[in-house]
Amino acid sequence: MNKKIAIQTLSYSVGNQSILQDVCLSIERKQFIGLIGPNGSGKTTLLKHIYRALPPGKNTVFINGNDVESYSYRDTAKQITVMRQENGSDFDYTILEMVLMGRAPYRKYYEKDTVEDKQIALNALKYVGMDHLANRSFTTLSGGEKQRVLIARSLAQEADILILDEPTNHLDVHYQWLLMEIIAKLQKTVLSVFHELNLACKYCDYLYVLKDGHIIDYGTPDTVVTSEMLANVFGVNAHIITSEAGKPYIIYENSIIR
Amino acid sequence: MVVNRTKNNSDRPAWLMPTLVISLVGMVMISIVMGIFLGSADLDAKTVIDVLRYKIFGTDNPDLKRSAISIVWELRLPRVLLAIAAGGGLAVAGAAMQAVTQNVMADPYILGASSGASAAVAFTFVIGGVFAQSSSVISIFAFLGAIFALLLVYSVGMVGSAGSTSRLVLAGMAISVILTAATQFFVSVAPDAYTVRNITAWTMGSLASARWTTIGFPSIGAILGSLIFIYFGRTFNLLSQGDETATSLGLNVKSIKRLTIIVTAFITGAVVSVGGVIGFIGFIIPHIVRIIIGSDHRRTFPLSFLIGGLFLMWMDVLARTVIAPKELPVGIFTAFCGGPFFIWLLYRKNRYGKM
Repeated sequence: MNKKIAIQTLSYSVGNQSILQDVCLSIERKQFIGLIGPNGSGKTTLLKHIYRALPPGKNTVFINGNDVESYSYRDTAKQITVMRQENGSDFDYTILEMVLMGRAPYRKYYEKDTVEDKQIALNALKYVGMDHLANRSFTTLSGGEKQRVLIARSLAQEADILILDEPTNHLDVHYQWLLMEIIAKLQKTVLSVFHELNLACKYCDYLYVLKDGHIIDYGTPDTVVTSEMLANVFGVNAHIITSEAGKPYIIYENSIIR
Repeated sequence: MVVNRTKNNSDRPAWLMPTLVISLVGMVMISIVMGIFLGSADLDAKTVIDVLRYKIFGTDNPDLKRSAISIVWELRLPRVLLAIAAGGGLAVAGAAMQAVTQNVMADPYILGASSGASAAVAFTFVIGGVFAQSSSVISIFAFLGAIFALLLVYSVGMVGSAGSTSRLVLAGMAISVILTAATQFFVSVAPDAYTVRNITAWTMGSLASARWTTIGFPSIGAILGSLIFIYFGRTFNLLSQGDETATSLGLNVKSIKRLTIIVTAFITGAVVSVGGVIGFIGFIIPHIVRIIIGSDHRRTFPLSFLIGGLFLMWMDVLARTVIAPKELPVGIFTAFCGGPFFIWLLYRKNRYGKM
C-alpha cells in the first residue's frame, strides 16, 4: 500500500463547460510529481479536488488507500498540506500566529496552543530560516519571505503529502529556486503545479501534462518534455538540451501563432 | 541587507491581553455606575448608591424617593446593561462577519442584517395586534428578517468568483436599500401616528425602550451569541485566510459559515428587536481591537465585546444627555463616529497599504 494519492476518472464541469474529464492519476510515497499545462487547462481545479476545496464525489479521490470523502476535514488536513499562492489579506497576523494555524487540525476549537505547538512552529520557522522574525507582522514581509512562512505552516501541519499550487509565481529567480530546494529536501510526497517548466524538469520524478481538462501525457521529464509536446500543448517553439544532471533543459525560441 | 526590523515588529508582550481584559472589565463596572448616574434627571451619587443598596442588599432608607428608585432601577440600569450587551454583541458579530467574508468592511449593518431585521419589525408593527405587543414575537421576527437578509446578500454576493468580497459589500448595500424601502413602505401604510413614530424611532436606533421586561431576550441573545463566537475563536483565524486555505487546514468551511450566519442573525435580531438599527459598531470596534491586540480571534472577540459594550454605553449616555431633557437616537451618534472612521481607514489604507 504505497499509493499516497490515487484519482480515478475524475470529471468536473461548470454549467456546460467541462473543466476536467476522466482524469486518472496516482502518486506513490515520496514521489515528487509535477503537473504542467497551459493556463485554463484545469491544474488548479484538479488540486482543489484533492484537498477538498471542491467536493470530488464518492470513490474518485483516494488518500492513503481510502476515499477522501470518508475522512473528516480535520483528518484530511493531517495527511495533506497545501501551499498556495499568497494572496494579500487585510488581517494582520504575526509570523508565529500564521505558522501556528498549521496546528489547527490537532487542536479543538477552544483549545489554546500548547508549548509543544509553539516548539513545532518555531522549529518549522527555523527550518526555513525565519525564526528570528517570529513576532513580526506577516503583511510586512516580501513575497519570498511570505512563501517561506507558508512552507513553515505546512511543515507545522505535519502531513506527509504536500500539494503546491504554483507557489513560486511572482517570486524572483532566487526565491523560486530556494523554495524548490527547501521543498525537495523535505522528502515528502509532493504534487506541484508548475509554470516554470525547467524548474519542473529539475525537481520532478514524473510529470503529468494537462490540456483542456485531459491528461494527455505522463512520464519522466525526459520522456514527456519534447519539442513536439511544447508546440502542441504550450504553443512554443523550443529545443531541448540535457543538463549536466541528465535532466532535460528547455531553450525557448518563439511562440507559435495559433 | 540592513532593514529596520524593529519598526514593524508587532511583538505584543504576554501580559498585554490579561491586563487589557482586567482593566476593561473594571471600566465596564465603573461605567455601569456612571451610566446610571448621568442622565437628564439630576441625581446625586448618594441617591444612586442608596437605590442600588436598597435594591441589591435590601438596605432601606427613609429618604429615598419613589421617583429616584424608578429612574435608577427601572429605567437607567436596564438601559445601561442592554447597551453593554448589545454593543458587545454587535462588535463581536462584526468581527466574525469580517473574518468569514475576508473583508474588513463587513458588519451586520453594512451586510443588510440590520435592515432585514428592522423591515421585519416594521411589518409586525403594521399588522399590529398581538404581534406588536409581545417583545418575544418581535424578537423572532427580527431574527427571521436578519437571517433572510443575510442569506439573500450571501447568495447574491458570493455568486461567481470566490475572491469577490467587495461584491459582497455591494450586494449588502443593494439589499439594504431594498429592505429600507420596505421599512419605509410599512411606515407609510401604518394605521396611526403612534405606529409611525414607533417605527421611525426604531430605524434610527434607540435604547429608550429598555426595561427589565424587554431586555431579557436581547441581552441574553447578544451575550450567548458572542460566547459561541469566542468558543470557536481559532476557527475564525483559519476562515480569515480564505475558504480554500481554511479547508486545507482542516476546517469544514460550509458548516462554520452556516453557523456564523445563524449566530450573526441571532445577535442582530436580538439587538434590533429592542434597540432598532444601531449601525457601525460591528464595523468600527474590531478595527480598533485589531490595532491593539492583533488579528488572533481568540483575543479579538473578547476584547471586541468589552470595547463594543463600553462604546455603545457611552454613546447612549451622549444620546440622552446632549440635549436633555430631550433624547437623541443613539444610532445618530454611532453613525457620526462610523462615517469619519470609514474615511480614516481609507486614508490609512492609502498610507500603509493595509487597513
